[in-house]
Amino acid sequence: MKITTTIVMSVFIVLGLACSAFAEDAKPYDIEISIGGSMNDLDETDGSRVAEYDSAVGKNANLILGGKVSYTLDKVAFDAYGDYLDGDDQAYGANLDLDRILMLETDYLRFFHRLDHDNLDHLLASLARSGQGATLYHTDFNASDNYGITRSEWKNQAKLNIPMVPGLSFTFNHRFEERKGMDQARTMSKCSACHVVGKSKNISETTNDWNPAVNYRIGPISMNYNFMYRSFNSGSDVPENLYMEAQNPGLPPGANLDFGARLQYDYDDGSLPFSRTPDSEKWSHKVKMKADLPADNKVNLSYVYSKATNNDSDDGGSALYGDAGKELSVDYWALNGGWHWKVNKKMAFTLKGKYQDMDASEVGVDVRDTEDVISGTYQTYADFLGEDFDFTRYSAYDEDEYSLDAKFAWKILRDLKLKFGYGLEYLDRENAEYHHVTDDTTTQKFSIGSKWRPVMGLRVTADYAFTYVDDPYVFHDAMCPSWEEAQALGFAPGTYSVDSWYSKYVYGVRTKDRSNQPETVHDIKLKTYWMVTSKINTNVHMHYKISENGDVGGSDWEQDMFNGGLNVMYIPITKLAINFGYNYFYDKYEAMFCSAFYHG
Amino acid sequence: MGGQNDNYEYETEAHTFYVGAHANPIPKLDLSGVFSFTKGTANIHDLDFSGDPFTLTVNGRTDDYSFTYINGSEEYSDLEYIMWELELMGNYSITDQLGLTVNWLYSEYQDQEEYVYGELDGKTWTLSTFVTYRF
Repeated sequence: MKITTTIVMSVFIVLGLACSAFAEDAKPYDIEISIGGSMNDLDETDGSRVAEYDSAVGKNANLILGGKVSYTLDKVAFDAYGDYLDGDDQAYGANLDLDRILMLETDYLRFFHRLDHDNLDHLLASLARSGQGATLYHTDFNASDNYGITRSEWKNQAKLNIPMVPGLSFTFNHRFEERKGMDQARTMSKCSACHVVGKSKNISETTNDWNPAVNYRIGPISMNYNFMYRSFNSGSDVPENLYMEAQNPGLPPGANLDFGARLQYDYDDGSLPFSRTPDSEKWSHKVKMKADLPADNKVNLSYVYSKATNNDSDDGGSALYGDAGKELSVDYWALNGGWHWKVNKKMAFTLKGKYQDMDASEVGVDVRDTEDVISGTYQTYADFLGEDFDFTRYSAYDEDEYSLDAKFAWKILRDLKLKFGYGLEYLDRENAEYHHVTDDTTTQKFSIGSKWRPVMGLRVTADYAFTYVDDPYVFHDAMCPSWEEAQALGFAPGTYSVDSWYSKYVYGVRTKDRSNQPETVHDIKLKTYWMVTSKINTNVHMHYKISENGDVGGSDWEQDMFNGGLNVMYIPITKLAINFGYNYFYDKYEAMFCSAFYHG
Repeated sequence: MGGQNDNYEYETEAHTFYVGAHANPIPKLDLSGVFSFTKGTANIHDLDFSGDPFTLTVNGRTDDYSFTYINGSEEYSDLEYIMWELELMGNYSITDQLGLTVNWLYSEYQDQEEYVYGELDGKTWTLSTFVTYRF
């Protein structure tokens, strides 16, 4: 990046020297150059909070370089800017306009984000009985590593208007985003104890968007076709973890091989990968049409189709850790329509509708069967139990959604405007039964808002919205296993039983549903702007929201949130301005806390 | 396997106060300063699961499941921090084309309750100076 910085600064200096040759009374350019430096000190146990987005403070000193240039002459307009603090904190941009026929724009931004390091020390639990070892413990393999990601984004846009065909234009957008650095990856094994581990993972991800479009306007109608191709590449490390060897507490010490089919995802010696991030691609087509109709009517219609694929799932390994033998994909299409009618000078009505459909790939999961001598016969546990543990994973993305929104705006008085809104959304989840979630959800939202100027210098906006959700999204039997139900199913604790599988005796005896989606929401907002005198103005804002769900089969919840504040600007004399303010945030979430335990 | 459950409240609260001023005492000089103070807390009060779930004895081995270690916590999952910042800036126009800027920023984060990510205390200051030339 030093080379880039040198080039950019050189451009500013050369432009400056070239432009200084112009006659002084016709000055088509403005140039500004800043040069300086900083001294810094960072005294930290952990800099991730005090300097979360500040990379330069980590150095004792750094350069400050900046510049702006603008140039306008005849049919050419150009402007550019640049700011540099250090390699991980810089921004550049430029715009070029050639007679409004060709317009180019480019922007680049780079910054550093310090991340937290979870020391895992809170993951330590054991039974109350003396002499019992840990049933939950941890290992942080890279305890001294600091985590952070450098993020950068480069955006480019080109627009070409065709003078010979008025109304026709082409645009081309490009976006390149990078994430580089190191983050923490965590995983756990669960066997005779829960063992959570943390490892450092090198991150090197890029996202590339290519987005050409064509626009055409003829009279009152405008049309647009937009194509986007996105590729995401993860060059990141894939950490590996050596999971605990299968241990069977029921057998004598040293006899640790006969754990058989209970360790389902893998039964080989050696490490297993975790925290994998797949490469992916997305293609999207969008067609839009807008029309200005007589009597102040506007209509718009659009159609979108997109497909996203996971390019790393086509290995023929085990689907239990991401290799499905084919590229997994999500297909999406949507139809949007809207109508806006300006009834008269005081009233306007807007109606919008949308239908969307999403479908994703199914995955056949072939659970690895290991063979053992069971009841005197060499066979798999599946054969012995008469069960087939293979299954098809149906996607939770498969859904249809219909939505309708209506808004009515009314300028009831010269200084009072009201707006009324109603929204309806119906969501149908096609594979709900496989994921034990709600089949379909209907959401209705009623809203009323106002903008009022009761006296000169005072503006008040007040909004209220009520949302009612019929059958909100719920995960059935999500938590709180029942000891009584497990026994009723025949579970015999403390014994080595070939019947002890999780889906039946642990997940299968969970008794409580869980949802973080509300059934009702009351949302109230108030803002005021008041110019008390010519020297004092104030802003007050308040937001109060009550959400609850009393339809979760015993694990109901309620949340109250309040956020409010005051800001005052005081200008006693023209040469002095004072600004002060206060903000208060409060949130109370009441819900069931279930502490579960597992008995081997 | 089994579980105990009760209803509890998780409360989060944050106060932010700030004050700033901008002065232009002489035409060539601009001065400004900003001070901000934030205090945030979050926790569950008075955790108290009712009774111990059960004692199980199998093959001569007794396992007790107890909430002793977490019951009675006055503040469970306790988070608290204070952060304050002070920034002072001065900008002097040496000539119509040349300006000098000096900026000083101090930030301090005090983690009052160490938890998942360890102790997060930190202090930082930056003193910057740069000249700007316009033409």
